[in-house]
Amino acid sequence: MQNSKLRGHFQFWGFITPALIIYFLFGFYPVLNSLFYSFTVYDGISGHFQWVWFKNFIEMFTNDSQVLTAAKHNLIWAVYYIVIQNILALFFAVLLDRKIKGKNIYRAVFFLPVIISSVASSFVWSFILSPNMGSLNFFLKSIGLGQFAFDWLGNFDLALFSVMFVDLWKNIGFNIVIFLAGLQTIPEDLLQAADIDGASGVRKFISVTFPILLPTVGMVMTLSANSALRAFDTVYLMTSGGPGDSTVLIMTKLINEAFSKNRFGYASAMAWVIFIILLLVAGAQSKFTKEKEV
Amino acid sequence: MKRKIALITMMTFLLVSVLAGCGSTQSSTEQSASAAAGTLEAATTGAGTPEAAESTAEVKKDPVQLKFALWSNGAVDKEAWDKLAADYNKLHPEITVVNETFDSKQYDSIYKARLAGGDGPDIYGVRPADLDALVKGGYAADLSGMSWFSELYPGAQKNHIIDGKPYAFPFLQSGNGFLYNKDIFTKYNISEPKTFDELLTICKTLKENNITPFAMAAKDNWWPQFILYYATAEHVFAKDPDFIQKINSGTATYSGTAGWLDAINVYKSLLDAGAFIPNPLGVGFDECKAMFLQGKAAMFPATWALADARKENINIGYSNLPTTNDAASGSLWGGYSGSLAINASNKHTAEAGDYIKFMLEKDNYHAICAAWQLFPVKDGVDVSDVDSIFGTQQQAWTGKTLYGSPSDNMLAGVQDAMLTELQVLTANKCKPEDVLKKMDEANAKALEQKE
Repeated sequence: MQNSKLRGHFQFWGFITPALIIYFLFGFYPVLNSLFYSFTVYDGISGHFQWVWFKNFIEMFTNDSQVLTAAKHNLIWAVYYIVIQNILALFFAVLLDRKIKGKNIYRAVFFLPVIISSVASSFVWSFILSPNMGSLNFFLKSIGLGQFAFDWLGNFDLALFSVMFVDLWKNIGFNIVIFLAGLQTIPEDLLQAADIDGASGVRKFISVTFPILLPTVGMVMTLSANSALRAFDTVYLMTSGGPGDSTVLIMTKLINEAFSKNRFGYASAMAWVIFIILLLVAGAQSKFTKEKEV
Repeated sequence: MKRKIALITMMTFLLVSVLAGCGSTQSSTEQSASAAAGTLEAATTGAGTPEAAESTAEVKKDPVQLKFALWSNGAVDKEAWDKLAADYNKLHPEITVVNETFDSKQYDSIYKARLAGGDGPDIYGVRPADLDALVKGGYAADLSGMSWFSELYPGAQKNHIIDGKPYAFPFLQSGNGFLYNKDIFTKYNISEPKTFDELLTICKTLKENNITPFAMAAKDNWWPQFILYYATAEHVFAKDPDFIQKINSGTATYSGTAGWLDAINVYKSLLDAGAFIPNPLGVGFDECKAMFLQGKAAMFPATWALADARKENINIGYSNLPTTNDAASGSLWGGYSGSLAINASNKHTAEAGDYIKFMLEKDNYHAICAAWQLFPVKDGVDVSDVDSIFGTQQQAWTGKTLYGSPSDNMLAGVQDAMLTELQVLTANKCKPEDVLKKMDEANAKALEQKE
């Protein structure tokens, strides 16, 4: 009996150890390293650093206006991601869950942008949104809507929303797929019972579908908040945070501090602040959705 | 029993493969660190210096892979580097040179991360602002002992001195000016400008005829530097050649230097005169180049478009870009560019030095200069046959004092602040003084970090 228990432990730890080693070396250790450097002034190249305790964290909150600008943009991004993108994703998922002809093709069309490389899609959209030679403005002018042919990526007020739109196009398919999976789990008999009771489509959605879907909604919102706070590639590839600071995000600011200004200590401090915020957001969302679960 | 043996074998294999991978990473890191320490110490004592390695030891016969990393000018220079590597491999079959060229925007983060991670290239392009940190980290070798180093022009030898020793060298030089479409100039009776007012008049004439004067825009924020630095040469460095030393030591400010405000105002004047592509903040560099090559823009403020312009059969002219009304101005933006360093923390300093020596041999160097459309930094390499314009270029800067790009020696973060704020200026959302204020703030932060 004891031998069998020992064997069980041996097998368990034997299989899990290689993965743990890899995780420690390439995940946990670099994270600990960045925590260490967040309390230093470190240029990331010379190997020399100076211990400055909480100076980097204090500077972030009191002496760097660009952090506030970036945080504001991330908040806008988060609201758009969590609210607008998910409402749209849920709407399309409900439509795609119906028995319609060619629904598999429609599902593929929505998911296709997710698997296209960010570099390729950003490059193409940069061309489409070009103010003078881009196809969007060309199309708008050709149908008599030339007054809406804006400088989509060069206008300080529009650039952030233009980049968010590209990101929505790129990633909405992923959330649709998650919602679709959630919709498959709704018991058919509950929906039939609602039909028998005379519930309308909207009533069925509010009273039956949505409450059962809440854990999925919670998960998607957590992922969306996570994505919003870590948003980087579309902005970096299309505008690099410009024009000026109008599309700067926390992650583009972090990369800039580390690799353009050689301030790895400060960038590490920023990374840890983002990590703590992400943990708090995930915790709060998890608590909220657990309370509302059916 | 058999199952037990199979299980133990499988788990052992898994563990060993993981540890072997970790072991090689750690040992290479340790080796790099110890090599760095050793090289630094050797450089101090004089023993085992690159000179000693190069002169007393033959290039090792064991297979060696040299990694060469640089930002790219396009496909043309990649081909030139690949040919050079292949030709060197024919002479030294045991040495393979692997070329890695990157987009200029990504290069900074890539090369620094790789050097710090122990996987740095053996020969690499270096941003001068990073050199101090790279020397401290042991990633740049002292070049003074290399046999080819003394053949470079004195100015090139003195270009990257830290604590009295050269740790990098520029492999190209040029005076800068703009390319122009001769057919457009002829059509509208335009002559090359000798003063800034003449340049503004040219821009006005072109605008009136629906031709974009300059293929210049600001979505790629590095591109406007190719207007600004013409101005800094004449307004800042001509008046104070020691400005960079002063600003980097904190004894001067950008806001307090009148020449800098004048230089920013040159950019603003051209912007306000409509000299740039419409909606400049939404237009990237590729579109700028395309407009010049399609004949929609008359002037291109750099010479790299020359090869593409020849392919498009554009009738090309070259001119200096004046930013003052002094036709006899003796200052010009130009000088040395494209700095290379040898990684002291790798084991191949001798081989890297030998490869650079090969690169600087007459025919090889001629090919590299031709690919970059720039000029050599040593005697004996005549590039006038590369393009008919090269003679014009050299004539244009004869008798002038060349002043380099201020960004080459700006402290970390200052260039970034300048480029970001230039975009704000381009949108008319700030004044020229605000650009200098932001540069001063970034400079102060960088000085603080240096201490």
